[in-house]
Amino acid sequence: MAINIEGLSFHYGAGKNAKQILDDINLTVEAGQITAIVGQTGSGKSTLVQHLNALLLPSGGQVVVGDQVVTSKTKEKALGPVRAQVGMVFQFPENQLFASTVLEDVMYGPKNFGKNDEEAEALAKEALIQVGMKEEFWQHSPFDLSGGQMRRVALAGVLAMDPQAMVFDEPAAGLDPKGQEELLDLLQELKAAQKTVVLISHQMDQVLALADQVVVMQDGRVAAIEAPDQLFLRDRQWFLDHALDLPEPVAFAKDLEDHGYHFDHLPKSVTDLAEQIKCQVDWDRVTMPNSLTGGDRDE
Amino acid sequence: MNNLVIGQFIPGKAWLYRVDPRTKILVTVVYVFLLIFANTWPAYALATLFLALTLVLTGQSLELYWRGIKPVMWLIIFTVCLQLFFTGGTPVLFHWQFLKITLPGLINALYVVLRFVLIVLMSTALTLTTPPTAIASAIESLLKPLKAIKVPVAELALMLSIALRFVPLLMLETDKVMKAQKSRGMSLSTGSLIKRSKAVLPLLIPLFIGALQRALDLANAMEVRGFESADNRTRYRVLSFSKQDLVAALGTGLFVLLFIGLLWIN
Ligand SMILES: Nc1ncnc2c1ncn2[C@@H]1O[C@H](COP(=O)(O)OP(=O)(O)OP(=O)(O)O)[C@@H](O)[C@H]1O
Ligand SMILES: [Mg+2]
Repeated sequence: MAINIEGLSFHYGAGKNAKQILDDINLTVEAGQITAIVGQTGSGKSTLVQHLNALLLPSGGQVVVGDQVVTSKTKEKALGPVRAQVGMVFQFPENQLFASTVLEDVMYGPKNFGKNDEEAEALAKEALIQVGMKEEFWQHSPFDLSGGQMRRVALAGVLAMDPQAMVFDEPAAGLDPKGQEELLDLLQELKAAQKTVVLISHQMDQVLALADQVVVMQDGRVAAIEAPDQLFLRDRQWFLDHALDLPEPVAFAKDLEDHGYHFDHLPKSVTDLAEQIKCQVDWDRVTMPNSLTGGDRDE
Repeated sequence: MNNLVIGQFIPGKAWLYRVDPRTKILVTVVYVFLLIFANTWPAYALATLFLALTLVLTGQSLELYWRGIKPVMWLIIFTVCLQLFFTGGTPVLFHWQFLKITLPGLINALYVVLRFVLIVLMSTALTLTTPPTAIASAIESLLKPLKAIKVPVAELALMLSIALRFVPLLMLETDKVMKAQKSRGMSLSTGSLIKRSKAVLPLLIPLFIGALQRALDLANAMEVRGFESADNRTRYRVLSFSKQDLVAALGTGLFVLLFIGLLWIN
């Protein structure tokens, strides 16, 4: 399910005190793809994504979610279906837990969106398995869990709604490396299941590895919409101007390019980078320290 | 959410900002107390004049105060209706089925509205020009005499200032949890009353848990930094009376005398 944002503007407050946050945003979140939203802090990323499931209503323009149009005049009652189709995972989602057992908490969303108890339970169990919560925890109080487990339960709470699209606002913040990896795997699973995924992230390595499309925000406007392979071809200055990092492998490749190396395509990972460097190195002229080569390369 | 003017502090440099918070609190208390006895138009006129002067001295725009009054408008209208329809007496001005409006009722209603608006605006002027922490330490200072009868004034004041500190945090938190639960289909604006009040639980429980967690964290943080007793602590900002306070006291004294005089004549 695609989401279209057309001429969206948004401001907090009204009248003289109005504070313009988003200005004339036009973009399409493609169905079944991973769209990453990046930009410096305060550029309006969170504000933008909260329009995707109508938590905020546009001040001007419209958001088209599937076949539903959301404008400034849309009534609260009409928003339910939009929210059922677009799940939202906030930063630190664990503070949304409230029920007396893990299972009940995960069932909350599906039940709100019209599933009966049995359907909701089935969906909840499926979601809990998907995030790797073992059955022994299902009847525990969510407040007895560790932080990482709470985060999984919260995530399951949104997955269980089985939305067509899911939005993640900096989901990896505060997770350990393993947790981050699992999360990225989950995003890819969602994509494989034809879900539309939107991801706000400050980690460009993730963006490069995962995204099909990158939206760069600056001061409440869209500065660029491009595939990551295109985007990261831009010169360093552009990234400085937009307060963005480069992915590690790309930054390294750009350094090497300054020294006469050439890369056929943007290195997507460290392995990719290493591969491309390997074919360009004139091994006869390289003297490696023995400790590094282990003596193997002494040809 | 951040549109609430009542209780909010807005930094500024006008005259009232330089008055000691203790003076401001005392003046507000005296003002509110006197208003209870106001029962004639001249008394209300005088009180309104005093308020107008205060508002001018805050240096803020009148529009701001209008925004402050707006949220409590419904409360005002409600009390007006009560007064209008449920005060007996003669002459009757309007009669329709069981509803009737009498002249004393009408006058009473107007008095109530005026009193309400005056009190709200006066307290708004206080909180608008005084940071919450200053209010807390002023209250502590004013209540000091109660220490003689073993009231833990310092602890109470500390609790107050911590509570004040937590208000904006809680508001932010409410907004966050509300959005998270709305995303999971929470709806507070549809369904029967019972259903709606039940729907608040997923909002309240995370808020309580978050607040408790915060409180525990704060308690630990204070303890590891050697906090023992709220008594006899030195302060970063020391309160002191100055020329402005004398002026404020004289002005208020004059107002009180005139006001009592007006009540007397009546
Ligand atoms: N409730 C609010 N009222 C008024 N202004 C707000 C509110 N929430 C956010 N803003 C402002 O909107 C702007 C954009 O905020 P937003 O949270 O969308 O940024 P962001 O790109 O998500 O930043 P970050 O990377 O830090 O999460 C900021 O200038 C912020 O101060
Ligand atoms: Mg954000």
